[in-house]
Amino acid sequence: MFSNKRYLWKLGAALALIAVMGVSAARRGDSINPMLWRCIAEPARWNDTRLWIPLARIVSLQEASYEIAAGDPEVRLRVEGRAPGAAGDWITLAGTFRAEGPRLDAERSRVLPPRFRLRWLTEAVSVAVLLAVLVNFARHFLFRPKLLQFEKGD
Amino acid sequence: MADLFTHLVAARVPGAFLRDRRLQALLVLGTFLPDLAGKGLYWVLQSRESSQLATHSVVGVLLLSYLGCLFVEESLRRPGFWLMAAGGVIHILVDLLKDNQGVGAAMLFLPFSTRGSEFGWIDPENVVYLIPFDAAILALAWVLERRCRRVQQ
Repeated sequence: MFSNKRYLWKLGAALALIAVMGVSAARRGDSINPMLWRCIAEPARWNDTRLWIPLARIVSLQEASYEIAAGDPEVRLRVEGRAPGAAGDWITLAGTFRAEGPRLDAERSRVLPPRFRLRWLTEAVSVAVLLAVLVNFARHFLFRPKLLQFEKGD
Repeated sequence: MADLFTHLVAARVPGAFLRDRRLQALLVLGTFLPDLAGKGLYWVLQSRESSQLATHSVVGVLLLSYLGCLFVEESLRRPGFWLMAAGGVIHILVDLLKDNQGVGAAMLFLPFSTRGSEFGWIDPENVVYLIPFDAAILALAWVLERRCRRVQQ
């Protein structure tokens, strides 16, 4: 399994299996949490689908419902239930999409604190860490003929 | 995805117990593999976002670790595979800490089940608060590791 025997076959098989898994996840994942605009475009198809909307803005409030704007391209959707915040607040919510309306029956929701905008900082740190790790990895695994020559001569 | 700094620290602390620095590097690389492969599929190969789900599953981690270990020298492949797989599992465990409103931070048993799992302990926007703690833990691990090496010498 780990030897050099039939190396290219093993490499090809591993790559093929990963590709198959990626395609399968992409196809099945499409129906797990579809984009909001797709639900609005084809409400009957996505009726009763559980949705997680990581980022949405409350546009307007009614007594027992509220309207959100979310997604790219941005679409609007009515949400049943009490709004977790005021108009203009950014929220995250999960619920069940209903074709009638269409609307979302909210199950969980909460207002996002202003620090959710600091995501760029997390991403910047992540990129720096990734570069450092790749440099460290190269230091241990890259083939360096000059180093070998030095060690031999030494 | 939590930030990569947290993923690094989560792997670097157990990695401090490994003497061979190459094996340490493989453990850390294994921790990054699910995101590297997932983002690669998304940004480079322009796959759908949901294709990243495969790289954050148990089978996906094992396959990626096997593929990764094929690129190191033969004598390192077996320990390299297990360490990269351990790194991948650590990555998924850190991701599971997040609260994705009950939807699940990872689908562990793809392609057999699409059920999402999460512990739901940390709101994703609070991950930024982990950065100073991560830095402190990393510094502590580094100091302890250096002291241990000096004692061994």
